[in-house]
Amino acid sequence: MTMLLECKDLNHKYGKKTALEDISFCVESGKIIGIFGPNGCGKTTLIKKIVGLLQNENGSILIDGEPVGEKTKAMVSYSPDRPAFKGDRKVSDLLDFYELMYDDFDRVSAESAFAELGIKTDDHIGKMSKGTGEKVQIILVMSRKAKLYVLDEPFSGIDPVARETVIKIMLKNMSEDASLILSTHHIQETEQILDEAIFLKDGKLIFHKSVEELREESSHSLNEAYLEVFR
Amino acid sequence: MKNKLMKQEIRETRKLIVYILAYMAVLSALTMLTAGVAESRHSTTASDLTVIFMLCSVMGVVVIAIVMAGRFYSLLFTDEGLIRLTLPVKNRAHLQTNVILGISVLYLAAILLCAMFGIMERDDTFFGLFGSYYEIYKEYYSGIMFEHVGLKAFLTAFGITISVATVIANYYITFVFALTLSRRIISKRGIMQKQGVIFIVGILLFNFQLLALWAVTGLADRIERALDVDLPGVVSVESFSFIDMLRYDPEAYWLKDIFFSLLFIAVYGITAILMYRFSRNIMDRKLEV
Amino acid sequence: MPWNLDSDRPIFMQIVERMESDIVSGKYAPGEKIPSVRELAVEAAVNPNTMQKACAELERIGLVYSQRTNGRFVTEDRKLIDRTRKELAKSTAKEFLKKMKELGIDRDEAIELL
Repeated sequence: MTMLLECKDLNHKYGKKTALEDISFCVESGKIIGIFGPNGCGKTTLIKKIVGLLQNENGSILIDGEPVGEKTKAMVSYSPDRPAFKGDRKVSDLLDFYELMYDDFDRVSAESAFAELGIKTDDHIGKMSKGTGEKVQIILVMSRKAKLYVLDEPFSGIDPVARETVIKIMLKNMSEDASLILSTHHIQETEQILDEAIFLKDGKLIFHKSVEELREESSHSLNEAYLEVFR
Repeated sequence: MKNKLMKQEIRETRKLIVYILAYMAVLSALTMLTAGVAESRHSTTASDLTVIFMLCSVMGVVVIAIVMAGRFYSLLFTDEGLIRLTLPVKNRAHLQTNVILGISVLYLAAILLCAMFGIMERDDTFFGLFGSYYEIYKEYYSGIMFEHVGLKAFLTAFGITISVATVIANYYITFVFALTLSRRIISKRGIMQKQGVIFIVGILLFNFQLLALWAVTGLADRIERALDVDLPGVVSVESFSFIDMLRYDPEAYWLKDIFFSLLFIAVYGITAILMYRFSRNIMDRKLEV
Repeated sequence: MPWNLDSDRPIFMQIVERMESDIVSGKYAPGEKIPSVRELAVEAAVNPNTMQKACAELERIGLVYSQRTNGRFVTEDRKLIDRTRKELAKSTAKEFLKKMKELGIDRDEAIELL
């Protein structure tokens, strides 16, 4: 199996506060991985390291054998934990932006996904509901034929129906052999789509298992395992 | 990829640039009109209006810098930075494109300003400079520059152009550097008062340069006094002023003017380069969003 | 609609069961092409790898067969389908009886109830 993502001894501090401590793990290609943990456990910090928003001084991160930089940024499709585009943009502006910036962006597929959800391309981002904004962001991110998709809190603040839609968009658009990492608090709703789960607690990695094996071995759902660890 | 970023930037700012240039063009038309009226009819109202219009167009240049630097801040150091800084380019590319575009727009506006003042030209005052300047370039392009205006006049004018260009570039880079440096301080110290930090850093940087200039002239002045000689081009600190530099009388002042231009270019040029390099380093190695 | 799956049992077993019953009930007719793994995964809202594993399992049992380029088809072996139906019926009956037993109703009483 080829390793798509290798993280080794990742550490991070915000001032004196430790956010990540000696995190090491690998992700094979073609997997869907969930990162879980209570607020402030380091999920977003870990994701920001992988996508290159935080400097990486001690440990190493290799994506498809490359250290984080321009090359890996071209392979990674990232959706931040909040809507990031300014409200004065139209959906079509964002399509233009992605089309110009990313060679692997499939505009036709994004446009058809917008049409399917009834999102008009001349709508302004600022006038959309939170859920619609999230959908727009996920569609843009998933319309790239990337090697690694990294979604930080893709379901925050959206209703169950929208969540289902977002999950389907993810499964439908994910390119083959690509991996997807997502962080979320919605364990029950996502565990069926996961291959593996990672639990973070106070910046430490305390659990990394195949979800299906977990069910076979202990007939535990991921949610139960989570409650057991964090309760 | 860098070209793509530039393309995107131009795509997003072209409307803005057109508005700014239109604003400058309208103002210069108005200024010409009022200046003409002021001259032919000796109207005080018209000459007051001329001054107001000219101040407005100078403010236009200031606003351009603020808008472009504001773009730099809001694209990279707010939530949108999460998207921008994960584009497949080096972080410094964002700095490069913004600085190139910002300075180009400023130059464009400055050229419009000069053209506007140049059209008014005449007499040996502050504005007269631009008039003569305009003449010089007119002659230069018709190929008889040296015989007509003389090498000294040309060098003076040329030196002043380059130093003004350097000051403009420096001015814009100072904005951008103040933003990146503040961002660095904020992320390292976890300070929440962002605007405050930006304000203090910005003020310090702008003043630091004036101090540097003052220190250089002051030093030259002291050397002059200590040696009790009259070094070419060195003026005392007390007489250091813009008007002095801008006085256009090549025969009498050309050496001093050129010296001043070189001083300006050295101080402002070197600080601009240093600030740019620092910002680039911060962007590439230290930036955390 | 995502399929209704329990998260404390292996998902792939549940998918296999669900597909078996779909085939037995005729939702997918013998010889009919079944959707691709990706389409099924999206429909069920499950992991594509798990769906892949389930389809491989169905292939192993013989309920579906794959043609290299065209995708997967339901078997035309009606005997096999019938046998599967009986097995499913048997296990459902067993399950039913087990539940009845938990309620304190024995086999004869249960039959009477039916």
